[in-house]
Amino acid sequence: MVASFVTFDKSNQTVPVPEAILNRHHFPNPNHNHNPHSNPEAMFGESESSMTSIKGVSHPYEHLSQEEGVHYTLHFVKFGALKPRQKYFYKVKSDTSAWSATFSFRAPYATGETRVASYGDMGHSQHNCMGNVYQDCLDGKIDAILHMGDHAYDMGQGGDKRGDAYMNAFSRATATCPWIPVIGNHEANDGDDMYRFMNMTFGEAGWQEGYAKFRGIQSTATSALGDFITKGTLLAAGSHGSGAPSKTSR
Amino acid sequence: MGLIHFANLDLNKGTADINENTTQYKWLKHDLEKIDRSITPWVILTSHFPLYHDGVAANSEASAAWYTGEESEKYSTSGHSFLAKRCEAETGLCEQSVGEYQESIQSILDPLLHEYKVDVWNSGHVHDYSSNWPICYNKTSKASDVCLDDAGAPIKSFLRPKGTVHVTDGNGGVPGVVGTYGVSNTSCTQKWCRAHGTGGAYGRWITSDAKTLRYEHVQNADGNVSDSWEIHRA
Repeated sequence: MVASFVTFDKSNQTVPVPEAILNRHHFPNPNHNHNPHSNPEAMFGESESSMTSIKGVSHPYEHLSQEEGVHYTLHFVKFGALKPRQKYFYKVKSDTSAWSATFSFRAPYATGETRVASYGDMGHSQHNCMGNVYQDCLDGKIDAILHMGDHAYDMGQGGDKRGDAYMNAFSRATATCPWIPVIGNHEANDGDDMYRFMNMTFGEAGWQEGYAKFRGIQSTATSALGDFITKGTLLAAGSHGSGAPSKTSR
Repeated sequence: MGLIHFANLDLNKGTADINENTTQYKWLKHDLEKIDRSITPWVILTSHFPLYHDGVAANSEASAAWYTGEESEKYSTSGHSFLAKRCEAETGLCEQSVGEYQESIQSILDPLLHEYKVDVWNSGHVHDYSSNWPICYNKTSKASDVCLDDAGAPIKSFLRPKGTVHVTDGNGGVPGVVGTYGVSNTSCTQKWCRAHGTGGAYGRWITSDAKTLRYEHVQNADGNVSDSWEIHRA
């Protein structure tokens, strides 16, 4: 299992690079002096009083909307050697942030009673299933959340602010139950960029060839959260102890 | 996850087309081949897009680009809005229809569902709940339809299904999905259609053994289960 979280700060030092934006790719902006956050760390254990430190990896994300001046750093901490169905406690931080609240989750399993929630097309509305899914996680009625595409209805809107709000609202559920995101049409081609969310789940399926920058596969996502999710699923694949992508869908 | 093997596909038109030559298809086939059904008895394939949805099947002459794109969903509080396929007056050439698009993905995936005895295809995209009776693929005719019994009558049960059960849960809460609930079969147009549901909800898949896979349709407003059924193998 991989705990993944995002920290960010704002800077007015960034300058748009029009050519790069036109090319619609990730780009290092030579004019900014941002220092990405680093040294992600989790405290992790079977009880709140027995948590020990685990170090993770960080990956900066250069936002497409440079005028927003938001610098995201994506952090990943791997929790290995989990006992099936065991309840674990954890909290996370990077070098520049305070500790998060303490969360807990039940480890996935390969046998026995299996309970999974699935749905598509959730979004932000007051009639969505966030609350019930979270309560089902707490109550042990479900052990994983499978979202079959169309997440926040343009996560990248407003320089990622919509996606931030969505993920913050949903994070109490995703911090409690493993979350498996599937890509829908609103991830594939929403917003101002045809490939805005290309591949929230390439890491999961691992079928796109020719990308090999980050742990074997580079995300093609062009929003911080799309990038974040892609890399989270990639690292989750690695955490099973096998590079075989199919193991991740169990 | 546990006794259910989930494999999740990206079928976005134009960016993730699927055919026998794509890496995604090869990955999927390899993934399905490797499942030890004595350990993991149930297999659920998911994608954002449904393979068999009654409302989609009823609009086979509509525009595929409109259906698979994003504009189509903004004004639809339940189900999906459709636009007639557009044709050039001079040449008579038409854009791809929904029916042609569905056929293009069904013809690739139905043989895999059949060969690897996939229990369920689960999807979203259309903003309602759609539950179908098992659909069988005929290897000889290469056609799919509701499974038939020995007398040639449609099998309207989940007892020892001979085909795949297709379920759409596209009503997670998208803007426009309302808090009013209803599940009925009165609007069904296809032989395999079991029920339609409106209102925000999600599905729960529950199993403890190789004999029974239970589905519960949980309403967002009150957590009540408005529809449930079980696939029985024994």
